[in-house]
Amino acid sequence: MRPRRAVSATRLPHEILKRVFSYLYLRDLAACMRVCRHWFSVLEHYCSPVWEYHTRREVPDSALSDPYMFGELTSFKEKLRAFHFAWNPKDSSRNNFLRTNGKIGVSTGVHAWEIVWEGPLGTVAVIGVATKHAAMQCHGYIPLLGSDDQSWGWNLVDNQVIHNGTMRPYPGTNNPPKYQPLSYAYYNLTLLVELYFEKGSEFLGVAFTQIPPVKLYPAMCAVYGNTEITLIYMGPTIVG
Amino acid sequence: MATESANGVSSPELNERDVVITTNDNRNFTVKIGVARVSKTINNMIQDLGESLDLSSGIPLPNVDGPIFEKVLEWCEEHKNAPEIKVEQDPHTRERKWFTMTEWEEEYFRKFLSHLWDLAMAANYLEIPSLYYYTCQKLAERIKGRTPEQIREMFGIEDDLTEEEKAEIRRTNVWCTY
Repeated sequence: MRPRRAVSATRLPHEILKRVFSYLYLRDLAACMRVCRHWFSVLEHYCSPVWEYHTRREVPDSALSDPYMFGELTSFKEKLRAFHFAWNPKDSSRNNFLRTNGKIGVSTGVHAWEIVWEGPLGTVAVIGVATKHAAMQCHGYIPLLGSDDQSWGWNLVDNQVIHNGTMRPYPGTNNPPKYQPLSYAYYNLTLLVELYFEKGSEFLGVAFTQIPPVKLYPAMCAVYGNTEITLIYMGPTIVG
Repeated sequence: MATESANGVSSPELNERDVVITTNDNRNFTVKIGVARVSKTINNMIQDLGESLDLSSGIPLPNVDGPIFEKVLEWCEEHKNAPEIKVEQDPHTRERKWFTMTEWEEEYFRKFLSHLWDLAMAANYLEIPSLYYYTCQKLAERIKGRTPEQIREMFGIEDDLTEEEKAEIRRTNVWCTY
């Protein structure tokens, strides 16, 4: 019998690779994508059954069937990615100063999160970014986010941006419209070396410059009891 | 016609009869029907042929070669009376349950470790769910926790992505590693 070389793993049918990949965790899939072009081609499709399998495994059904939650994210991989970037339940204040951070931080590149504020703004409603060292709890009705040098926030109630306890009006236009409490609000928080916000698709100007290149997490701060805030990571974006 | 002859073929006596199977390198294997039909593909061929099945002239397998079919037959012999396997999910973690392998099965994969991809391809074509799922699980086991470099080396895969492409894939998928 002639000596036989094992079949080249680069010629394998997609079906078999998908089956193998569905046994692996995301960490291993990240490695598999960089093995060769053929393997990458199996995993690059955002709706591949492999991503579907992992999305259904990790993301709660209630979130997947929610028409608003992933409204603009149609593929399974995007949904899974958004879920990974979402609020971290372990990282929040225990009293009614709710302040939660995202699970994944970013330090370089341009990243966008969509923030949907559902319910009244209350007296304090701040969105922004924080390092992992920022304070998580405090006494009294004060905007926590932006109160120290570890976080940068924008108070939606009085249109002020805050960092290290210093406030400054934002957006910088004359008489910017105050946002109506008791209504839906969509904010896009975009981060590069500068932090700027968009409301819907309206660019509101740069809020902070000279943000240090440390790992930052999306964060929010609210005092009103029934506020629901949704955070959806929209992916690294292109400036333009 | 199919049902009648299928019933006829399913009889226990028939399982003891021999059938000749020819692989794509023109090797002939004389196999007991009871063993060969662990492969659903072969079983379907036997059923389709029914009465007209000429056991001596052989069933051709154009997609499998001799050395691999030999290994597959070892599996079929061991699993000829095994119940159908079930792919199950853990209701709590929603993870696919990993199959528990017998000592014989572990030994089988240790012996043919360098042929796992061939076995997966053959088992897929021959429709042998137990061999197919177990081999895929074994492959996943080998990939787990390894770097792209280690995976390439283990399976002899050529590195055909540029450094820039790899860096880009890494950057856009870094969230997978959390």
